[in-house]
Amino acid sequence: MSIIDKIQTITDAYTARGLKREETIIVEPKNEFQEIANSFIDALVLTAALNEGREPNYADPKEERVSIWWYLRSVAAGGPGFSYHDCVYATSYSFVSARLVFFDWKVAKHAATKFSEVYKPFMTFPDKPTVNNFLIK
Amino acid sequence: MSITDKIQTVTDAYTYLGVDRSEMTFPEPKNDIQRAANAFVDATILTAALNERREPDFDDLNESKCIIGWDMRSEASGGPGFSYDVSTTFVRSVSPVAACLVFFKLEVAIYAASKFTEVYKTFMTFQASIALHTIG
Repeated sequence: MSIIDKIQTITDAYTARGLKREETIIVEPKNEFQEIANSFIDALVLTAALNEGREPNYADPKEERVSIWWYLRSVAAGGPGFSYHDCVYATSYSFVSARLVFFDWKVAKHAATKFSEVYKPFMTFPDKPTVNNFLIK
Repeated sequence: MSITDKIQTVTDAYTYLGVDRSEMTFPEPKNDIQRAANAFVDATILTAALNERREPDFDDLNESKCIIGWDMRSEASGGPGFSYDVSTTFVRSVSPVAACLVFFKLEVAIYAASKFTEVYKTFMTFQASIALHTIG
C-alpha cells in the first residue's frame, strides 16, 4: 500500500506520526489566528506523514524538493477559487517552509487536492478579520 | 516616521495592531510544532503591521505582491545559513506563500526578512525539531 493510500484523512496523518491531534492543536480556538495556527499544524503533520518522516536536505544539490503553488483568485473574480495550481521543484532556496516541502510530485498533488481544506485557513486571508477587526477590507 | 521605523520588534507589531499575543498563540508551546505555529502567527502579525493593515487582493491582477525567497542552505554545508535570498519576487494571482505573509513593497519585505529572520526561521526550517521527526 502506498503512502497516498495510507494517508486519506488528517486523522491518518496524526496516527502515522504517533501524535494525538487534540494534544497538538488549540482544542477550542478563540479567534481566526488560533484557527490559522491549527490548520498550519495540521499541514505540518500531514506533510511529515506523507513524507514518511523524511526531512529535506538543502545541502544536497541533487535532492528534488517539491512545493505547492495555489490559485488564490476567487470564483467571483473569474478565478478558480482557492485550489491547487501546480507543483514546482526548487533547489537550495525556497518560498515555503521546509516543513511543507515534498519529494514526490504525485504526493504533493495528493496533499494539495485531497487536503485543500487543511491548507485554506492559513493560505488565504481569514474571512472574519481578527478579533479586533484590524484589517482593512 | 516610516512603518519600518515603527516596527522594530514583534511586540511592536502586536501593539501596533492592538492585539494581545497571548490570545493568538500557544502561551506555553510544548513542542517544535507548537513553536512553529506560534512563529507563523507572529509572522502573520508582523506582515499585517508592516503592511499597515492592508490586505492583499488576489482578485486584482494589477496588484503586485511580494513574497520572500530564502536560501535554506546551512553554513555547515557551505551556504549562508538561513537567510533572505535574491529569489524574493512578485506574484499576482497564484502563490506558494500564504496570503497573510505577502508584502506590497520589496523594501518592506527585505526589512522583514533581514530584521526578523529568527521568526521566519522557526517555522521555515526544522531547527529544534523534536516531535515531527522523532516520533513514528
